[in-house]
Amino acid sequence: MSGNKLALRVLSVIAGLVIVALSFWVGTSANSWLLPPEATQEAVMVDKLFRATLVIATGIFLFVQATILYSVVAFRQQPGDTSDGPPIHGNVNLEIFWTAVPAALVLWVSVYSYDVSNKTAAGGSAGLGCSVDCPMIVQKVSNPTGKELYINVLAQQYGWTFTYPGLGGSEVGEMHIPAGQEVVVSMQAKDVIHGFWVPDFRLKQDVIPGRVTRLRFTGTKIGEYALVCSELCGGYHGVMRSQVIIDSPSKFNQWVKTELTPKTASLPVSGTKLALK
Amino acid sequence: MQLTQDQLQPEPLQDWRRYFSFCTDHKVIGIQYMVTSFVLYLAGGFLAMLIRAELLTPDADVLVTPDGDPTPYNASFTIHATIMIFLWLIPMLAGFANFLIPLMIGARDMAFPRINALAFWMIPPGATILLASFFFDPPGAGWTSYPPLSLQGVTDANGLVHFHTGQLLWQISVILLGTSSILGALNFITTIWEMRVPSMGIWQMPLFCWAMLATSIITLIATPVLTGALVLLTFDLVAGTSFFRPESGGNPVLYQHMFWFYSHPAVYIMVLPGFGMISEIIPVFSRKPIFGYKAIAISSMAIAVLGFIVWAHHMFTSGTPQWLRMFFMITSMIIAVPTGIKVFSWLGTMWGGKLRFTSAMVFAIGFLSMFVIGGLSGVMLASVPIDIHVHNTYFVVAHLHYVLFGGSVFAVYAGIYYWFPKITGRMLNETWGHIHFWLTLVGFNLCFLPMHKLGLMGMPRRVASYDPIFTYLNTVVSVGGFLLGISTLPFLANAIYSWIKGPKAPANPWEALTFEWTVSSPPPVENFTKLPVLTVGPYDYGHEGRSPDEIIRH
Repeated sequence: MSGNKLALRVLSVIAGLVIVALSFWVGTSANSWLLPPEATQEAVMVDKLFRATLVIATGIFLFVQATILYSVVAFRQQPGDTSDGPPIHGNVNLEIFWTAVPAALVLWVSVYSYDVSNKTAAGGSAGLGCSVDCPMIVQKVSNPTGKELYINVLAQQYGWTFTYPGLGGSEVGEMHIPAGQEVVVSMQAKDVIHGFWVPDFRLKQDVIPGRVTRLRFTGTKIGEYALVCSELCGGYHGVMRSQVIIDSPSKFNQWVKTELTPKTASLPVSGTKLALK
Repeated sequence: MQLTQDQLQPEPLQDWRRYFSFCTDHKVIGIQYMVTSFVLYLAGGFLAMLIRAELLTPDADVLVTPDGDPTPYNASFTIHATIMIFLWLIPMLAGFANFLIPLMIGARDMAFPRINALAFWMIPPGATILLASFFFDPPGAGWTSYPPLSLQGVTDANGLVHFHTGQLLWQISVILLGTSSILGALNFITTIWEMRVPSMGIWQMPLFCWAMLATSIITLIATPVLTGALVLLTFDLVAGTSFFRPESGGNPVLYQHMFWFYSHPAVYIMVLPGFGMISEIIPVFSRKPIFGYKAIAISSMAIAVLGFIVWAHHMFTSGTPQWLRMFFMITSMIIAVPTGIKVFSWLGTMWGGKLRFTSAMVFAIGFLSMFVIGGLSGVMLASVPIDIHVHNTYFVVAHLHYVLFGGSVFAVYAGIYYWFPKITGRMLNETWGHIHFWLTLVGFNLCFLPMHKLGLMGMPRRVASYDPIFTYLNTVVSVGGFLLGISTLPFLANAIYSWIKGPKAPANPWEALTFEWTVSSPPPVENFTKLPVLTVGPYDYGHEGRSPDEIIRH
């Protein structure tokens, strides 16, 4: 082996190690610089998957950019050299290699995603945004554990209203849920398609006129979280926002008593105000 | 049918007026497509800069009506997207294909010259109708135009609800433009399949022809479905039918299926020809044969086929059942494999070559570098749990611009710098080409890289106002957007000046091997006075003076 070749080997091993280290560093630290807080059990699982794919993506990204940079520096045409490069048309082994490795990687990501997707829909629930049109889901929803909190959501241009069946008849303009209890949200739209999205929950489901769509999740971290409309719904789409508040169970019960009893009914704020304008 | 020697017509007058007429010369039509779509690209880019001006601040304050309604903002992004897709990328690439395919395969024109001219002449009315919609209650339902939003009437200042004229104009325009591209596709398939010189087998075709073959097959199969969806939507809008109206039994999600059945393959319609151009440019300026010719050609076809079974990954939050989401997730993941093969093959082509950094080559390398980012975020978006979080957010906006700008537009610029001498007979200025490249690269990344984070952190797309916590990143994005807009100016000046006064181009300024470089620049009216014979493969660089067993083929 000539000195040049040896140097190249050493260089590529070092580059490979640096790429692997950087990829892990970028990917595993994603929660600190790229993602909002995790406020549900589901968010924790989704983020874990996200970090894993980010490690892989960063690795491939750095590999490609490093190869480009190296080629640009090492293989530039020398002044005065007008001859062509070597007539290499391909390399079957190499081509099989770079077909098989990405195939294996995407299959692994698929299997992992499948797993997370099912787990975030765990407990025989409707899970991540399935509609009642899906027979499997109807069956699962009809077998509730009995401990869920049911909330009905009505979306309309440009606001959200919430009702809590069985907990007093009032409509409210923001959603309160107790920490640690599973929540089933059933959503209907009055006019056009809207999207129920709480970024800190990592959950999103379109709200489609003419059908009921559901989400099931368990809030874990007490706090106020933005609820935004994620499906273009007209001129004021950008201001169709509300909040989801995760309370401690005792505080939630207090809120139910003061806010959901009909006599202290508060008008849904965000929605009707704009609609009446 | 090829004309024989004695049937050749005398050359018609080389008059500027033929560019404004129903001319059937594929080269004239190619230039008509390219110039028209570039002008519209400037219009679409101007709208993008208006959008970025609105998003400099969290409140809706620039693109709003006097009473504060952000409808003009919605119209701007709707028409921005429609122009960039249907009036910039698709016709621009059709322009390249028109100009190049007959020249690359040794034909004297396209198979159906009149259909070819007809296809082009549907574009100006389509563009006029689309731009006119700005003045009749502009369409604001996004380029996706999901019902029921797209079917809603418009409320005027007195609270009266009117028929949405602008939406109807939008639909008529897109139906026209769709029909134009169906006609074009028919022509490309027939030409590539039937009109190659006898000495050129399919495995000797330039890879751009393979890419256009795959593209045209997609266009031919997918576009009628979009046209069908829009015809039904038009009936719902004007005739009171309820294909998609939920209040009278219609199904709005059905529209989404029909729309994405076209519009996901449409991404490949917009990017495969770019892949083809990159496969032409990288070997020439690496002075090496393309690495893995057959793998690249077959992967174009694989993308075309797989592209038809991935559409519902746009609909993971549309109430799609879990088992269907899993199916579309896996197919969408798999399509990354043929795409990866191409990227690695281009890297393999450059590896060990003798790289010449012309403007065309730096844009091709820029393409490779940027497109990879879009491809990787695409794999993330295919994963159902991740997609559910980032669907309809700025993460998707970032992804699609890395694919369609970092991919397609960089490839288009590479193509312009590469074929400009052939098309116009003049050389472009290389220094200004490099300035153009660096401004574009910096502006592009400044504009679109931070969008990934915006989306992940919680900013939805298509909003005129946003949470003030996103102000800083949006300012960076807007500055990048304005820089990207400005970066077009050096190119424009260079192209206009060079077309008029640039140094005359020789027949083969880049020492390339494909047929279009064997004729004069610009090519004569009938392309080839004598039909060429293929003696050397399109990428056989480095063969001169070598013994056959030195050449590594498989």
